[in-house]
Amino acid sequence: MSGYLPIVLFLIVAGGLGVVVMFVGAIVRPAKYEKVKFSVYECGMPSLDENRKRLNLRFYIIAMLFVIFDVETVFLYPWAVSFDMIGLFGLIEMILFIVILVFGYFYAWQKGALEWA
Amino acid sequence: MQNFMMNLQSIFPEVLMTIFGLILVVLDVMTKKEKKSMVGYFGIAFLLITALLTNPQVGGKYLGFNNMLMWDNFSYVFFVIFALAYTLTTLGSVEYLKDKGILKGEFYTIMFFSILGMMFMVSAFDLTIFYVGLETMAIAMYVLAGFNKNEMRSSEAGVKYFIIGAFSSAMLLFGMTYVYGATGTLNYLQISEVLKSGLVADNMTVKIGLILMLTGFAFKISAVPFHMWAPDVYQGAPTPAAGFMTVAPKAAAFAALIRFVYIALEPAAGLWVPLFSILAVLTMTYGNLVALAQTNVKRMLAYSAISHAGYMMIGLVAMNPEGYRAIALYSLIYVFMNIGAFTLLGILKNKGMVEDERLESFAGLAKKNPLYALGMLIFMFSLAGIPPLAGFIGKFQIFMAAMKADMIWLAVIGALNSALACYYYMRVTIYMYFNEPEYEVEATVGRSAFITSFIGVVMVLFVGFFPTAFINFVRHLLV
Repeated sequence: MSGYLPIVLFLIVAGGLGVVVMFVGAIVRPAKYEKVKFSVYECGMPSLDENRKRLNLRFYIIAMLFVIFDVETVFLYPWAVSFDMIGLFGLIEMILFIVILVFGYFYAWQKGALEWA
Repeated sequence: MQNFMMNLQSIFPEVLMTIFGLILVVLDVMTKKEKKSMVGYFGIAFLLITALLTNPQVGGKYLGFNNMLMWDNFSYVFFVIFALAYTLTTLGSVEYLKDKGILKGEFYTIMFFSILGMMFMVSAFDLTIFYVGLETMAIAMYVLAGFNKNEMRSSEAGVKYFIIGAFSSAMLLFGMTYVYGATGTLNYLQISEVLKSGLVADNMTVKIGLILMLTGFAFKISAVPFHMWAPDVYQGAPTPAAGFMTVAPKAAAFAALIRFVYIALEPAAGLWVPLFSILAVLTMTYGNLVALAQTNVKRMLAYSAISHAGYMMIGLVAMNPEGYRAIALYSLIYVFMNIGAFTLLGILKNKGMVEDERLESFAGLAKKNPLYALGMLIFMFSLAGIPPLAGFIGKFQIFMAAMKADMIWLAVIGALNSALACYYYMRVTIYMYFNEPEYEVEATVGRSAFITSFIGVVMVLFVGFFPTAFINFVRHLLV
């Protein structure tokens, strides 16, 4: 267990540093309160309207389909690179994989998931 | 080449099921909107073909892919149990789904794919394969629980099941990493080898890993105190789906647990046998005690499902061949009586005032629908374990296994619990036969629901009156 001692020390120092910095900051800094200071911190432009708006469900379906077919291409790249080593076995394997995905594609297509309207 | 054939034989049932599942997906988009039940019927036919083609002859063992997958009689028996659960649920669900306006092909396709996951769980000899199978099954179950999206409760059940399921899967996976870290292998046989060298006694990592894994398993089989999700999920899910969920995934989890615990953890019996004995007692007693207080029959059956998991755990801790045979037999009997009861429950409708499944809805049904009442009576008596019916045979075998393992105290607690359980099962029949109806209830049994409950009743009676034939059948299959 002694091998983990540096990690524990590291955690203590990291946590302690944060606490110390916050306390020192609170004591040293001048206390001037303005309206802007109390606003929620956000990057970029202040948002124009409600940010918990309802989004069209289609976005999610498209995103999900994208993930599936993106993974397909992700698999295809290393397969293509190492094709000379895995040979016929790899080819059959990949054909099976794509055939299964084609079934899914056909299903999504027939259910109208690819149409926007 | 020899090796390749062996690999192919070990995975052949799963390959067949995948092909059939993909065909079901295509069939689903080809059929017309009002004929979606065809998908389910095709699913039944496909399961029948798979069952006929993949029967390993007695004693046949196909171990493949570096001892990762095993197709033998044990896997086959549990596959038959899942297939029967699918068949009965499909037949029993058609009218219910049509009535609720959710008759979609996906219901049957997803259920079909969940069986694929269960097959992987049961035939796994390696933790990775087991985990993949578990997730395939679990994700399908989340969808089935939330299938009726028009209803708040069903959606709630789906989300709840998903969150708890993901949590328990994470726990299981976390435990697996510890076990892998300590033993250096994921294969059941090799884990057993490593544990035999006395690693369990003095290695904290293995202990933590195993405890986390067993906790994950306990969540999956809804053992008390890891049962909190079960009543809400079973109550919220569409009734036929709830019937399926109380039977098939639980049988699959038990089968996978038997494989893991009997093979990999056999040297570590001192660790898990006491743990599961305590869990078994808690599960039986808690499930029965809370079921006593329920006024909603669906929720009552959900709690009764928890207590039945407790009975099955007795067979697990008995740790002898009788134990796992008894679990297989119990699961098989449980398929008929529980899916039958849930199918009949799904038929019941009152004119939109209160929940359909209230206990008061059953009042006076014996006069109005004598056949319905008789079917429900037989299922309730069987679930309670009244002697000439199938439920009794299942419980008897379980308690016998416990006696054989010198765990008489567990058998006694189990018997006391089934006496306790009689009360709430009887209450339903008392309402049906002796109470006057308070409001109007409709219970017209449709054609396919009739077939399901008929098969259920016939099997419950058959197993009850000719138990030896049935027990020999299971024993013959399990060797």
